Amino acid sequence: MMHCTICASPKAESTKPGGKREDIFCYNCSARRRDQDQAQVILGLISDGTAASLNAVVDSALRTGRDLRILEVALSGPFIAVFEKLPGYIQGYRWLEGSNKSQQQAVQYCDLEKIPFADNSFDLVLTSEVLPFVEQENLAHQEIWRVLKPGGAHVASFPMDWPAPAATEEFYMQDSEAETLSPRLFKTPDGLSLPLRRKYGMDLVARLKNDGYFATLRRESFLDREGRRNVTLMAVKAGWT
Amino acid sequence: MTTSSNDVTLVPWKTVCEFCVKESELAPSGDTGRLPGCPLCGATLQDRTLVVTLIAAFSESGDLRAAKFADEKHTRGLKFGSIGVAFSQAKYTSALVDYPFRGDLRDLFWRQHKSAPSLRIPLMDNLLDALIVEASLAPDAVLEEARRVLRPGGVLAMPVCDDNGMPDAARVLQAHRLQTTGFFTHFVQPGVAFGQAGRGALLMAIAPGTAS
Repeated sequence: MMHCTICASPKAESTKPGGKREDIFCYNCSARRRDQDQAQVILGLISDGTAASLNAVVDSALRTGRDLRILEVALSGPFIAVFEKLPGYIQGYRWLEGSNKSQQQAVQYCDLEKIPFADNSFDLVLTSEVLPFVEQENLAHQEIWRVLKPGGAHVASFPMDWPAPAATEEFYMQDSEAETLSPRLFKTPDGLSLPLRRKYGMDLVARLKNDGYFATLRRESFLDREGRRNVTLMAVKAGWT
Repeated sequence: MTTSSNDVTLVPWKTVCEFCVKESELAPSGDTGRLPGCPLCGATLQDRTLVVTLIAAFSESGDLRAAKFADEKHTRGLKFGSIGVAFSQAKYTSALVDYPFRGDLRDLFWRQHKSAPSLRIPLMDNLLDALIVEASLAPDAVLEEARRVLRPGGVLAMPVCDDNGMPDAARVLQAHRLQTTGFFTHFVQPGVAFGQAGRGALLMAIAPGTAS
């Protein structure tokens, strides 16, 4: 029997034809396959290897008083309901002009290119399907590095082909001739449309390693052919030369 | 084939083995949720976890197939070693390992460890990009040597359970011992989605180096 790695509910795999990243979900917390894969990587980072779900880790942290500092850049998603029980959890989002903020007043403004928190603040930074939309991605990685504690990790999810392409494909660049390319627009949770700016390749890992991260792309769904497009980036602030 | 366990239907799913690159159908058994390896070539779940994790950590091509990565590894001059019999002698994984310490040498490790605390792996400092160690062969002296022979940022991979699982306390203790010697540790647990955190689990430790 499979379990959701976020809420620990038993679940069945979707039998929906063609079901891949988005269609396979937990019937209890609505976490999609990619969320559960990401949760699996987070579990390996913040648990001692014995917990079967993020819920269990959070309950344990609350019992023992463990001070877990987590920044999640998201407006929605299954991690919020789990981590918001922790006093050290901060939910951030980059509000844009025209955003519908009516139901999300508690969310703090957080631009990944200029994160409004002090150095060495967090054990974990979470981004789900965010990096491909960030304008100045290098700045974002530098800022995440700055706010992570030494040994802290950035855990990000995004789709990637398998076998993965060697190079990242940038197909929407501002202030350049490339802007004439037709961007693929995606709806954000606050009702706006954002252009997808890149499709990642394996060079992402090499770039992050050059910046001092220990970086690896994890494919938790490797046992499942259909899940192989799920990729979770684990970038640890190692600081090693 | 569809099996039922309680009120949840277990649907077999298709998978492509990283070793034989053949597609097969997998389904955990209804009673135990036991996770199989590849039914065609016999690679165990632990073999698959280990190789996928190492390839993901080092590959620049992003191809998870073991044979493809072996070529890439050779071209780039990456060096992998292993201590222990099961992994380094497995036909599925031996292509990835350059410096296996097997058979008699493993016995030598044991004899040395029992008689003298100064165990030494016969390799120069900062040589290896990855070292695979059977968890049962990992006394403190081996871990210290692993730190010496791994380059900064190199990966120490320790499969931490067999098919019968492994006591949680021992797994946690191993991680703690590695952390105290400066490693960053992380668990890779394909079984966790099946409610079996230990099944096929790997303790992945990143070797420390000079702080930048």
